[in-house]
Amino acid sequence: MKYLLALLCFSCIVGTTDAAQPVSFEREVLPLLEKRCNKCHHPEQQRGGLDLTRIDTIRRGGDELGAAIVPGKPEESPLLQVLTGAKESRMPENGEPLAPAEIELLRRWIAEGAKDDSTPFPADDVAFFEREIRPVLSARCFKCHAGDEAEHGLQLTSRQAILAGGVRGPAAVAGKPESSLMLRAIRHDGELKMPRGGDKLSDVQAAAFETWIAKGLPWPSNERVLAREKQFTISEADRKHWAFRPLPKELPAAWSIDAALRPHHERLGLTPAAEADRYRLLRRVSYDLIGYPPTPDEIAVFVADDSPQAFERVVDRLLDSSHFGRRWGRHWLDYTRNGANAQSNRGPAFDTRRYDNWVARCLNEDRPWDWFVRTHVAGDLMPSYEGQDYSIDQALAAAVPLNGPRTFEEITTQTFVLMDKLDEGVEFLGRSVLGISLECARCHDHKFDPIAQRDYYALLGFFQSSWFAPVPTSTKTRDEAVAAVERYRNLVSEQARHNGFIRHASLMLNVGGGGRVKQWQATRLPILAPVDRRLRELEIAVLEGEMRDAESRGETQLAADFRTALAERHTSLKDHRSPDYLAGGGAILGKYNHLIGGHKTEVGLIKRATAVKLPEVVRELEEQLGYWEEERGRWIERSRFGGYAKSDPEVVELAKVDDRILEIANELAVNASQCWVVPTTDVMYVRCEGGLRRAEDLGPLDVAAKAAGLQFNSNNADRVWLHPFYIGDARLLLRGDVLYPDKIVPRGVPQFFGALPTPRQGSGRLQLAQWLTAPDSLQAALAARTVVNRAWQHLFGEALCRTPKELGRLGEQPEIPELIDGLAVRFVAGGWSLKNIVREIVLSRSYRRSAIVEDGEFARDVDNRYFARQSVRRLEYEPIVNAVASLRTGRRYEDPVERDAAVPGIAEYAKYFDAPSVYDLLDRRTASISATQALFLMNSPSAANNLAGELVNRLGINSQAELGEKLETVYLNLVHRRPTVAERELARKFVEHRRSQTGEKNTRDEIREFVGLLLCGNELLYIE
Amino acid sequence: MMFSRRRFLTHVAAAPGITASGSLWADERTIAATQQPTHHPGRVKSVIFYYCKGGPSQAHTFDRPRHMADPSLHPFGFQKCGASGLEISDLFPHLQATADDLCLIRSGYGALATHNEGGIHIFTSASKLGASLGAWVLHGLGSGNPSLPGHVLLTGRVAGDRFAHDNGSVHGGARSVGAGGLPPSLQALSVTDLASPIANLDNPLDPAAQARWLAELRAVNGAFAARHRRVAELDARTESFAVAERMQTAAPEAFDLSKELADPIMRKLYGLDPQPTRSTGTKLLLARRLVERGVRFVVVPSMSVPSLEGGSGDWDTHTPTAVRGVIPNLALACDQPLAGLIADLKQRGLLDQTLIVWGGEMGRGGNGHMNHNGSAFTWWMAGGGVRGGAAYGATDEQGFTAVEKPIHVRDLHATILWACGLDVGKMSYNGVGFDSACKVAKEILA
Repeated sequence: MKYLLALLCFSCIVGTTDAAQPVSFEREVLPLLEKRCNKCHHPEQQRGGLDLTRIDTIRRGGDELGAAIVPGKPEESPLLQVLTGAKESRMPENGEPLAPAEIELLRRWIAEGAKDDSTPFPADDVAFFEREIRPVLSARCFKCHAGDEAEHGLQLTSRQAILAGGVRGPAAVAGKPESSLMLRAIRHDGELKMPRGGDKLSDVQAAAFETWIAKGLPWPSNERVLAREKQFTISEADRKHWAFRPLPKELPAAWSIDAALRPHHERLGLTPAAEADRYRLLRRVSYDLIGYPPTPDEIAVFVADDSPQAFERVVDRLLDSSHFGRRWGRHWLDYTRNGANAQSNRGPAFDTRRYDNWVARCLNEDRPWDWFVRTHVAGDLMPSYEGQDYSIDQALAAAVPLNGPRTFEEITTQTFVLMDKLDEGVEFLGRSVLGISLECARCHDHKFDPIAQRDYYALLGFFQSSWFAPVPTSTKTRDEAVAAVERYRNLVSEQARHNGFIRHASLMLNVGGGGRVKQWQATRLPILAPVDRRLRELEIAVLEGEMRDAESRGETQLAADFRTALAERHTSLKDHRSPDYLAGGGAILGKYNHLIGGHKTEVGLIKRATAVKLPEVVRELEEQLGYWEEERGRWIERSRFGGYAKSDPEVVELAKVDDRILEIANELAVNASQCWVVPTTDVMYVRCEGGLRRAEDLGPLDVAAKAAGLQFNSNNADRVWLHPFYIGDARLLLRGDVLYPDKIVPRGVPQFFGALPTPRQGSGRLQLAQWLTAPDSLQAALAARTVVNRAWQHLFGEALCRTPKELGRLGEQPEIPELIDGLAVRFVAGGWSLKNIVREIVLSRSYRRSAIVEDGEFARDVDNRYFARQSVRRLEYEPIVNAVASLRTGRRYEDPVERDAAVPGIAEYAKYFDAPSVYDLLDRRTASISATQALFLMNSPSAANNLAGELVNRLGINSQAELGEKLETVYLNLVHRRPTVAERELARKFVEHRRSQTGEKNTRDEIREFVGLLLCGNELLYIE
Repeated sequence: MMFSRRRFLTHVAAAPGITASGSLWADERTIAATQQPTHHPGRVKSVIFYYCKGGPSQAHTFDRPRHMADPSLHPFGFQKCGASGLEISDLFPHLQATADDLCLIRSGYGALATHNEGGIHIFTSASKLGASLGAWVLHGLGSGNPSLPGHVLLTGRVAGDRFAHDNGSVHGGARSVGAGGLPPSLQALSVTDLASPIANLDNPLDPAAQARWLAELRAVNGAFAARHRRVAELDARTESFAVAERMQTAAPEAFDLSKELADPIMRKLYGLDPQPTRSTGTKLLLARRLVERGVRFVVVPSMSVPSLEGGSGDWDTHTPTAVRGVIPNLALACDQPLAGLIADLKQRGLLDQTLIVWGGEMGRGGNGHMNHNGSAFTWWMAGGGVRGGAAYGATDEQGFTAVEKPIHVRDLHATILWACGLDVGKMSYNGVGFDSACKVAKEILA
């Protein structure tokens, strides 16, 4: 209730003033002026030469009207005159007029002599404020507590605002530090702790605040408001955050993963687990590095190899395998949303399989990760890895930021659609590459990380200056690519220009003819009415058929439903009225197609008539369908040619242009307005220079471009986007809202990370890419930390920092940041080689440890945050499907598409075993356990039963073999170890039990059923 | 190796969502619901959460702002309803009529103002384990019917629905109804096809043979489980087969609506015939059948609906067009079915033990309440012993910030769990429990 009162008082200052009291300049007038006038009339801006922040400047007045007030004479005071409209120009400009009570307040204040009642403070106290308080306020508080939308309604930018407070009540009470919320908050005394997410103020600073409040909050009289907007600041805490520090210059000679973990184990009393046994170790490392389990032969070799290098040999074999790139490439693909081409509205339809293959190749060749990352920003602008001047695969990789799920529909005309799309690019750069949440700064300065809103738009400019276009798949050189893009864009522009011409000419013809299109349409109504009526009769015939059918099957309820529907149709047929064809210019004609042919969830009449066997009706419906299609074409043609048919002599010129449009459509290899349609195999979409920009950003010199845009894009100036060759900066949007465009922000990098060192060329993506991995930079350190943290995650089941796409201050604090740093240093020193760092982790003792844990050890580290043991984890979707495919066929597959073809029911596996989403940047996979998964394995023919049969066949187990004899083969193939004595006993009991149950001996079935059990069992899906 | 009775029982406590008892190598089964002791007597046995996807505008539904910057953006009237005089938008005539059963919580805050994160947040943020509210309710109360999943997400459209534009979904996806760090078996079963809610129910084996098969599976899993006793997923997965087996018979019965569909009174009560309410009514009716059978937590998400002004949309209403065109249809879709659900539960004597919650992942603020807002949102609750005909808390005069009795998302969780007889201060798993800042708003409960 206290909060409520405070808030009411705050927002109703005017209403609650006691008329007997003189008006206070400090408490009433100045806050009102601040709220309504001083966005423009403050000392820096002084619009019209007027500064309304101080009494002396108010008296001095502005350029045009002189002194703003005449003390004692409100009616003669220009300030009041412009506010009431008595004098031009009326204020506030472009804003709501002041409320009568507010004007009355100013009137009274002027009538009372326009006095400044501000509390004067001794110069020493003001000096104390300037020295001790002001720097802290502006560096630590104004990031949130300033401007119109201050956090929790609290501005800390003026003395009066501090006293008035925010939603939680007054921030300070003059002279009473002990009852000042602000002091409690900065001392972290209570629930509210400020500054939020930053380092606490020092005791000395807090003491200064106490003194200051005790002195009554002294404030300079000549600067009542210190800031009118939020001020982005970078704090010491930002610089000290573990992921934002520079990497150590070098590591101690004795550094190793095991050595880095040891002190933590000792501190917590953890005894690291012993090395896993050979079978389990081989299984783990095989699945982890190549996504396939070991073969029985590989098991035999490793188990028999006594040399100390045995494991190292295995690791090197796996790293050299072509499956390594596929498996680890998949980890990267999780951060690219790859694989959703041809989804309606989502585009461009990239060749996702080609990209997948290219990623696998890069990783197999162990191309340096810094190069790989740069490629995803500027691959089209870099020489190819092999040394040519262009690589189409790299140009494809550079387009990956466009992979997001947001729509491309209307992207050339709707501002917000484009901004959403570009946002995905910034998100990709942040989340996938750097491991931070840049996209948070779209609407406001990042609340936790040192990323300002303008940093976001500085980065956005790179993406806005770039776009995508189709080029021939055979493109080998940069010149060819550039020429292909230019040709494509010229054709698209030409087509748009012609369309604009036709639209305009048609409008003239139509209007000139007194609404020729409508006149023609009206002639169609009497022709269409009987056809529509006949269609209704056909519909009744279908319903009758369906009713009879339901009756014949004894479904009385359904038959009754049909009867009701029929009655309704008969009634409406009696008084038949065609739909309103004229509404929407014949748009309704498209619905006939839905009704007759079907649409999405709607079953068409043809299908329904076929189902109840009415061939005559079907035939007639097909005729109807053709008729309405043709009619729709006619309507479109007439409205395109101003009421004429294309063949009419009056529109010969237009018809020629229209033909050229159709010609261009044929010349274009892709559907230019539907970029999600998969193009033919001889062209592919890639990244290119030059993007889209807002029509209002076209300067006065671009009148022609603007007019052209208006002509062929839309009739609404606010919505136009064109000029598809834009290379330039993005515009900051207030609160991220396209309706509130603000300043242009020069392209650049977040100020926390310094500046782009080299001069920008073109869009500047190449320079951005080089900056991203610049040696010894903070951003390169962040990118390297991100990679090693994720590599750890893929090898231990959990990352060192558990929020692998948020290493910033919103993420979780890692327990062992120095281990991430150490790995990152090694990674960079090793030439950003992924294979090297994976090798180093896998060869550590830590990786090789067993996952078995004693109760006491478990209790000391429940979540295994210190990795004194390995984890038990469920296989991800791809290794599960790999395993299923290789159980069926005994093969390992290079190509995931081929593999999927080898797994019957692959869609169900995808559903029940958590196939990755192509909508999100995935930082972790789900491992769901559900009864539906169990039902699938038990009951679906695609699952355990058939697979068991196929495996038994493939292993060549004949009908004489007993389970006991084949048990070792079965275990080696399914769980990659030999059965234990207990398991042999279990199998023996199983057979015995089965024979006593069925009274038969069928060895083949026994083996098959036992394999089925193992296929449903846990060990198959979990590695330890 | 044999599965010991003691171990079995230990793990029953670890994964109460799928508890059952049974003897190995035997063909007979006994199934019993777990009787988990609660921390204090609580009335609520089940929760039905009608989730409004997109963040419903409290100002257009259940919290009329006292001051509107632009009244044209608030085109819907409000009435004081029932004996209690609760103010409810005219978009909900049926809920207006049952106002004395509703407790409007107008001072929600602490939501996240982005959809995906917001969805995860309102379902999972109270605990440090990232477990959803449904998972905690199921964990705390134990299964009410081991033959059915205890936690269900109901999406989908009935045949012939030409109104809804999608099946309904929860922002945040699987994580919002997931188990987080709790045993994975507590995550929701997701139903997407109402005609065939659960796939693969036909088993080639007869019941006796199946029971034998399950016992064999436990035995086969035994050695691996014994190596890793602390990995709860392993037991959960083994048990998921037992649940699956029981579901083969229990689920078709639970999901069979034929009796209700033949009853004109039920059709009318839930609005099963009119297009706009057809699918929502069916899902809420299914939800009632499920809670009747002991399912603990059912989430029914709102669907996208056509806009009166063209296009379609969900509760994420950013424009005046969406406010005028979409909100009325969204309200229409849920008004009668929810009022019908309340009446139906009441007549069956189940309302007292079933808590109905209506709400979304955030509220709305800014001009015309068209922006995202984490500082104020309204949820309402009915049944489950909440104080009917009451309004809890209030927002500021523009309806942007919760100012009177502000109740954080985590407090709402604590309060719902309290109504179930569960005290978040005493709930934990592997030593990890709830945010210590959780407070129970006992005034909400009668």
